[in-house]
Amino acid sequence: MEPSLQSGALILRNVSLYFHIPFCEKKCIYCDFYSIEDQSSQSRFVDAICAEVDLKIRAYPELYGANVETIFFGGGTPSLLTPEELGKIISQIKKYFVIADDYEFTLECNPGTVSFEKLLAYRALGVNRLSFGVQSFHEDELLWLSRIHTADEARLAVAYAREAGFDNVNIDLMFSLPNQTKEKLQYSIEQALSLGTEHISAYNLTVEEGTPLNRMVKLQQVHELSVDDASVLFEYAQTTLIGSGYFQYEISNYARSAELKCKHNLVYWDGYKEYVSFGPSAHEFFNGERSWNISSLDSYLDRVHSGKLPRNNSEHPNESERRTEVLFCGLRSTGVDRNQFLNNFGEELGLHSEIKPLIAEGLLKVDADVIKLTSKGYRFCDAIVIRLMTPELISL
Amino acid sequence: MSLEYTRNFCIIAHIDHGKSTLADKLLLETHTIAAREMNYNQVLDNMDIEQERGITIKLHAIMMKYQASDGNEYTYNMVDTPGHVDFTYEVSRSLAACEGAILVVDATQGVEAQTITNLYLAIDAGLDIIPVLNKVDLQSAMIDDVSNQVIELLGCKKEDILLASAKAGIGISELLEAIQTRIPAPKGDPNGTLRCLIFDSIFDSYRGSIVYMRVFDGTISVGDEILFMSNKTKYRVEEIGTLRLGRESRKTLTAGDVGYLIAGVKNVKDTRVGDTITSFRNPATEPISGFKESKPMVFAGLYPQNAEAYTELRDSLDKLSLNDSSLQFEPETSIALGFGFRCGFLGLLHMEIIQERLEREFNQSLVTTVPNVEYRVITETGETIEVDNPSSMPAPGSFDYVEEPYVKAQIITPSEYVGAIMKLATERRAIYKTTTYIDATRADIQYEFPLSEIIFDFYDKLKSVSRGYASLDYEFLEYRQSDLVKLDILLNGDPVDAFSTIVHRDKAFEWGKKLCTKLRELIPRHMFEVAIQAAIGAKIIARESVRAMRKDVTAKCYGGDISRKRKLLEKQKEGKKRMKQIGRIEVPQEAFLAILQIGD
Ligand SMILES: Nc1nc2c(ncn2[C@@H]2O[C@H](COP(=O)(O)OP(=O)(O)O)[C@@H](O)[C@H]2O)c(=O)[nH]1
Ligand code: SF4
Repeated sequence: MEPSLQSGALILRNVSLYFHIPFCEKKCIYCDFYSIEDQSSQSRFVDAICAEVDLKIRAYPELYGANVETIFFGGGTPSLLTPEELGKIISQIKKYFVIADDYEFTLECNPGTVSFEKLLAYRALGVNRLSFGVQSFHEDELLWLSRIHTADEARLAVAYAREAGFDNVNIDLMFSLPNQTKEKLQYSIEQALSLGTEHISAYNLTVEEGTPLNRMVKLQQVHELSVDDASVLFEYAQTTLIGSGYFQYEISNYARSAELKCKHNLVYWDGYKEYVSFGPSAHEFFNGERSWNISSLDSYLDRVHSGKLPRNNSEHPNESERRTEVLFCGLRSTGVDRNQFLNNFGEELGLHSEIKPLIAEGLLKVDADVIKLTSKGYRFCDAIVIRLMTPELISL
Repeated sequence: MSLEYTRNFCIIAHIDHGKSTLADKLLLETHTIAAREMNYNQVLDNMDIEQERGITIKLHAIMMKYQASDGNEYTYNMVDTPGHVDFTYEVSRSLAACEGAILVVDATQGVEAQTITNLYLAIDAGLDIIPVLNKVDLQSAMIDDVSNQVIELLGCKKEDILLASAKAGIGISELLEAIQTRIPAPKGDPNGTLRCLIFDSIFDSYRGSIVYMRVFDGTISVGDEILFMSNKTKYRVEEIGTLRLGRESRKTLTAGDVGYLIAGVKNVKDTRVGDTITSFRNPATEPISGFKESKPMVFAGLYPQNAEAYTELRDSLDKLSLNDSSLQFEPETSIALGFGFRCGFLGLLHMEIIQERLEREFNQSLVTTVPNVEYRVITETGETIEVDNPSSMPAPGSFDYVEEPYVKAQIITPSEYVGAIMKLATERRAIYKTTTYIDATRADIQYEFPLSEIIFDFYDKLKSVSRGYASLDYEFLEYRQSDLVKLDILLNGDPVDAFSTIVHRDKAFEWGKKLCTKLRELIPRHMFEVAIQAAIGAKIIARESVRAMRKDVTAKCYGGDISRKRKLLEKQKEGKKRMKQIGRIEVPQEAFLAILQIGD
């Protein structure tokens, strides 16, 4: 990416940026991310999100000149953006921020919305990582999930990406669909592996409030997989992916090497790092404050149009809430840094009375610097966090 | 105040037959209280829990002035009585303070067991009874049938029965007049040796114990030195008076009066219901008969949810027992539950009330163990050991035999349910005595029951087999030898003392199985398997297991929405607070009462 802002001698602050693109061709039955099918206001939206960047800089002048380490376009379906639209937003970014040399710039793509030319153009704009929502390689499952693409289109999309020069590609897989057998999951994982992407995210399907899937479950039209069956699949995905040379660095995330972990997601899970976000429903963490935008495109447009930040609400987590955040973010990903924890919360987590039993149960690994989950531990992350949630202040 | 113009009485009724409504009407009619002062809830029930349950737990009294048709003004003291089997002794003391009783029977329901028990107590106490059929305004009133029941019971004449509707205000003035003409004036010698009967006491944090009493003989004045006869404690009268809506202080009370007394007594245990107050200088030789130490019948362990709350729980129990002399407690330790208290209650209802008050008024989170009765273990050497906690039952073989308390129970039911009730009673090891018919449709069945069989959900079962029509009353009979065994529950091989129960040998196997099954449902899945076993001594009689959970994690992390995930975790953690940690196993509070839920 061409640097535009002169990076001066003093770089004040590192930051990550998130952009939420709230359009989808068709809503998937399980999805509770904010997006709408009506794309008629897409170009107005692009103008608005650019304006939101201006507003944000005005509200937080300290952001001006910040060093951007990662950028993530999520949604929704960011791959519905035309290269021109994406270019507009990127110019806005460059207007105010310094882009780090080793920046990561991810854009989520729906395989049903990409062409070789489009990906080539994205690449030219500086995007250097693509994430494809593939979910499954079975046509029946794709149909049932209301995905708009076939398995072949997914394979083709990855091929286009390679052709366009992307050397950092992720595919999302989803498992524990109702009635899913191990054999069916096995096939999808094998297909994903054969594509050789640098990164695979494998998610256990979660039935979220307010989704069509949730209604179907409530009406007993479909039955969720039992916890036992789901955990068999979870464990299977884990062993297969690890056995095929990926390493697990978060509950649902696997990378081919340490350098190929998704840096942007690691910012979320770092627990301390800051990220600034744009677009409806987007969440940010800045100056110790967590805030989120309104989840309605209309109100978002109105708000930005009248020159106000489209914020829905914010909160300032207190110390004990921060402790929980740092704890679960660290544990679910690359571990909790002991020194940092001690400095921030005055507590040596390694001496917590639950640590020893958790190690004995094969759930935790502790070394001088980091406390992290074992691969078995990842499967019990929530239970483990809860056991460590009550602080124990040990006087040294 | 002349004895001749005083009447002391109480109202006997089954729950919901209209005692409170009728009492309110008497207060209104005598202008003791103005209609506008009467709030929606009746005056006599002034504790939250009582109102919700529709039963009067604590005794109170109130004085009214009645202008009788003979032209004289009379002082009526209405003494309230609690209306539940747990409080028979308290009822008997209230009755002893009166010369007469109004028997209220719901004309749409007929006579119930409790009514009969309390009526017998009243007759035994020599009270004159005025029977009143209430709710005669209702279409469904069975005036003839219910009148016949009452005639059968009292041996009275049909003309003696008053017809009333407390709600519609029918028969109220007739009743007020009948109180004057049919209930005798109190006897007693105002110049005799002082004797007052305590029929209740409550605790006031400023004034100490406030005693409700009836003066039988003599005169009591402010400044007098008095003696509580049961424990020979001496106090000086600070204040006495009569009971209107509030307390009205007076200089003296004399024979025949009902009123209150404050003497700087810091502990209600010194002012026991049934005790006699006399003069310190000139004490009576004999107390008023009938004093009994109220003895707890049901025991349970109360433990704080969190160990740190132990002292707080102790303070709360201390405060509660100031108010409730029948609550007993002493510290105990459980291997499973840590430090707590073994508490003795008059009955299961009393226990529930205490639990509820601790939780509501004192904000305590409790873990309660299964209630049990007190057993007597007779050793080889003939020694008797009282066991009020199943876990302290000596090992089998180390004693001669065990005795358990039996009660005399009376069940009154429409005759069509007799069969079902007999079946239920047999399952509960009851010994059948007699059946008598109160009238063509209602039977009065007498049984002897092991008390332990009644404290477990028997009342609910009785109600359900009789569609709510049968009623129950019981009183302690005696201790009898029984073939009892201690049933233990083990979690992952370790016995959990808080789960131990004592059961009849014939039922042990079935109970063990049911208890294991119930616990399997209640204990959540852990990261490891939890084995649940039931054992008698060293012998395992049932086994179940809670399979290990294989995953506990939400895959998704909602993009940058960390708050949402944090809140979910906080909520989950909050839910865990209701669990008691036993070793590595988390056991929900309800599990300790699981035995109460194992249906037949
Ligand atoms: N129809 C009718 N209802 C009554 C009468 N007396 C009481 N009730 C109702 O019966 C219910 C129980 O009355 P209550 O005085 O609380 O009974 P207690 O439990 O004996 O004190 C209440 O809903 C009253 O309104 C009456 O004479 N006629
Ligand atoms: S494409 Fe993605 S964002 Fe759009 S509805 Fe489907 S899952 Fe949700």
